[in-house]
Parts: sequence; structure tokens; C-alpha cells
Amino acid sequence: MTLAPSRGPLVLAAPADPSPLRIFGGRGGTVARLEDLDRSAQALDGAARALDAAFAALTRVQAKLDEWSAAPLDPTPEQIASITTARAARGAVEPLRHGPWGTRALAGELRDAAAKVRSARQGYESAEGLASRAFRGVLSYLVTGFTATPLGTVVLSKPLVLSLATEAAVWKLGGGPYPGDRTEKYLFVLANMIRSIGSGPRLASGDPVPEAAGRLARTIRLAQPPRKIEALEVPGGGSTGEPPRGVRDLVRPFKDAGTLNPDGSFRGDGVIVTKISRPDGSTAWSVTIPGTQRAGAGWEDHPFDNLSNLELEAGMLSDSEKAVRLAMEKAGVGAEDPVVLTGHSQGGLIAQRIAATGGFSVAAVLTIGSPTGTSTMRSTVPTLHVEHVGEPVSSLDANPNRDDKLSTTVVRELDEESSRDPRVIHDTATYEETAAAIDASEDPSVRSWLDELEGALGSDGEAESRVFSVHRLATL
Amino acid sequence: MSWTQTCSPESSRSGILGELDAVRAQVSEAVLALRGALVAEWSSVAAAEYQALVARHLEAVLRLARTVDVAEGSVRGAQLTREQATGLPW
Repeated sequence: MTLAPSRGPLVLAAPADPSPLRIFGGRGGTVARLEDLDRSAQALDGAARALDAAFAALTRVQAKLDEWSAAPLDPTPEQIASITTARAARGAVEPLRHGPWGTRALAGELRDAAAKVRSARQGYESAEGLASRAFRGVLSYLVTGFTATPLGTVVLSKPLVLSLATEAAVWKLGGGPYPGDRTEKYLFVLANMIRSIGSGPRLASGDPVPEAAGRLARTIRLAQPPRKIEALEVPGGGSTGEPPRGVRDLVRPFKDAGTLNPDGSFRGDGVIVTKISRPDGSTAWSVTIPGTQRAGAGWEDHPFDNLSNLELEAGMLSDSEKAVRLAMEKAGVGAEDPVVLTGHSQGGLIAQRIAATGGFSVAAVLTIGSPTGTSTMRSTVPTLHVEHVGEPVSSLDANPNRDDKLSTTVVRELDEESSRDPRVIHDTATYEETAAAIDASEDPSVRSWLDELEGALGSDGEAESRVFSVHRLATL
Repeated sequence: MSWTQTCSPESSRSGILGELDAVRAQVSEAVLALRGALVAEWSSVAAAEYQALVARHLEAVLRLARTVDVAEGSVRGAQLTREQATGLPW
């Protein structure tokens, strides 16, 4: 709050919104609001139709009373009494038809209210993401122009390579922000090209990554011998403390996990499974899943590699998901115990898969810098996606995150220096700062997700963490 | 319990009172539509304001229902007087 000078009394002026966070989806998001607007409009319209029918029945009642009110030429006293009461009854019925609280007026009000709700719905819907949807529509049309033509993919590869080279040169020379957001558009084109290779001319897909990733993953798998997946507890890696109470508490453990570097620091390559013993005797779990650890594709001894990335985006079972499930089973996570999964980068994809495919009672998911916009990564439990502007990894889905009741996305704009370096943008330490800002947010979607977190893990109790290293072993 | 809180069976009355039963049935339908919306699962954080809108209109329809009860007394009186005057039930 600042004091703005003015003539006369001082005026209190609210400061500009200092929050660097942009939040969409969740219970405060468009889809949730649209569903409620639809429900309101349907109820109001249904009631209006019923009152229209009531008005018609009342009209028939009045017609009959009009008939009874007609006086003969020489009425008897009984007939006069009958006519008088009929006319009085007509007067009593009239407000039901045309009075300010009558059926006609109420039906009109209900219809007006329904129309206003529908109008609000339209305005709300078109205000959200219209420009983005229009851009994607034009892009799809253009890409189809190539992928639906013989040799079109080959022709398209030239401008794509040129664009990428130009982006790289401009970024390196100019030192501006890392163009991670535009990656989404390039990936959209590239994934559609991969889809059309060898399968003949095809229309562009709005969600091309899962199919393209699946094709690549299956091809790589053909060249890989079967491997055994193992999760082993890291001796001395455990710790005790308080249960996580916010996003920052969930992000902080990433740096203290995994196997040890020669200098004694942690590599952050392990899976942390934290048991929370609640005062009422119940048990809840928090699982921290790291991101990609190796650049290879299937031949690495750590299963968190690029083959797993491709399989996860394709909606397939990956070695990294198997490893996390194994670590959870070895830690003793019960099928009915509430679990909160937190994943960085690839870890976020694994978390979404485990939540969607079952085996554990996942109550909430937190993804950090993960590409979760594909149809294969749709949320099935309350999920908070945290990203940074220019994120090099979360844009690999070639699609924005969904705006639905279960998915809340928080995007933070970093300072100028941080936004130049893709490693800083994607680093868990940077995300820890973002997490602190999220915990302080009053946004209804964020608060709703934090309520889910508290509901799952409780606000008190004791936490005991164990760290598991995960391996892809050769089989004999 | 008000008739707006119960199901509305087919009217067994004929004539003008049967028509009034049809009015009651339709008003009950309107109440049911609005009450159903109130107890349904609302998803957004703005649900309270939409529920308030529906609740406001539900209150107006319930007021209409009370007026139907008042009008029925008059119509019933008119029918009775008519039967006495003509000797014919309607």
C-alpha cells in the first residue's frame, strides 16, 4: 500500500500486483468456472420451462372461471353468489399469471438470468487463450500443408533447421532470455514431421508428441536387450524431521538425495520416500522423484534417461517408472495409504503416470519443470504444475498445460539474468525460490491444492525419509 | 411439509382443480430443477456466487408456490358455490 500525494486528503492507492506468478487452471480456472456456469444456466432454464407450463395451466383455469362469471339475463340470488365467487377466484388467480411474482414474470426473470449466465460463459471462454488457440490453429493448417504432401516433410525440414539455427545464434550473440517458450512451436512442427515419416501424407495432429515419442521409443527398444530394474536403499541416506507443509517443503529435498559425489555432496539422482506417521496412527507418504540423470537412451545404468522420457510422453511403461514403483514398494507404501508425489522434470512425468495408472492411492501430484501438456499426461488427481518462463524442458510437450479442475499451473517469470541460462531456469534450486512464492500466494487454485496436500499428509506428525538409488542392470 | 418438497403424482382430480394440480406439478418441477442445482457438486471457487443466484430464484418460486395455495382456496370456493347454484358438480 502506498500513499499517493493529492490535493485535499491523502488517498490510499493500492500497489501494482507484485506477484511474478501467472496461475491458470484448477478450481479457480476456466473449465471449473464454465462447468458451474453451465449448471446454473441449465437449472434456470429448466425452471423457466416449468413455469411456462404452469402459466398455460393457469390460463385454462381462468378461462373456466371466466365462463362461470358470465351472468344470465335474470340471475337468481344463488347464481349471483356463484358469479361473485367466480370473479373473486379469477382475481385471486390473476397474480399467479401476470403479477410481479407470477409465473410469467418469474419465467422471464429465470430466462434472463440464464441468458446472462450464458453470456458470461461465452465471454469467459473467449477471453481465455483465444489468441493462443488461433495461433495453434494456423500452425496446424500450415504444417498439414507439408505433412499431407509427398516429400512435404523433407521440404519442411529446411526452414525448421534454419529457424532453429537462427534462434540459437540470436540467443548466443544477443544474450537475451532463453527462447524456451518458442521451443513448444518448433517441437509441434518436428513431432508432426516424425509422425508423417514413413506413414505417408497425414493431417497435422494437435497433440503430436505422444505418437512421435512412441515411434522413437519403440525403435530404440528394438535395439536394447532386456534389463532388470532395481531400487536399493542408500545406507545413511535417511533422515527424520517434520512432514512437508507446503510446496517449498516438497521441493527442498531434491538437493539432498541420491548417491554421493566424491566431494561428499549428493548427486540428487535418487528417489526419496518419506513416511509420515500421523498422531492418529495413520500413515501417509511423500515421494520425491528426480529428473533425467543420463543423456543416453536405454543403454545407461540409470533408468532416468531419454528412452524413459520418450516412453513416458508416449504413455508407455518406462524403466524409470518401474524403478520408482519398486522404491515405493520396498519402503512399504501401502496400497491404501495416501501418497503425494513430487517430480522434477522427468520425475513429474513419472508422478503423473503413477497417479493415472494406479497401484497406489495418490492424493496429489506436484510437477516441477515437466512437459505435462500432452494427452498422456492428463491429471487424474489434484495436480500443481510449476514452470518458469522460457523453461527448456516443460515446453517439450509442444502443448500448453490443460486448464481443468484437477490441473493448476503456476508460471513464474525469472529475473533478467536467470532467464538467460536454461540450466538456471530448470534448476531445482531456482524452483525452490518459486515454491516459496507459491506458498505465499492467495490464489484460490493454489490454496485449493495446498488444502489437498494438508488433507493427504496432515499438518503434524513425524516424517522419516529413506533414499533409494535406482539401477538398470544387465540380465544374464 | 410443503407440496413443493414432495413428488407430484398424476392428478386424480378433474376439471378446474385438476388444472390447479397441473400448476402445482409444474411449480414443483421448477423447484426441483433449482434445488437439484443447489445440491449438485459445484467445482469452481466461484461456486458460491452461482449457488446464490440459483438460491435467490428458488426463493422466488417458493413464494409463488405459497400464492398457489391461497388461490386454490378461492377457486375451491367458486366451484362449491357454482355447484350449489346449478345443482351440478363441475
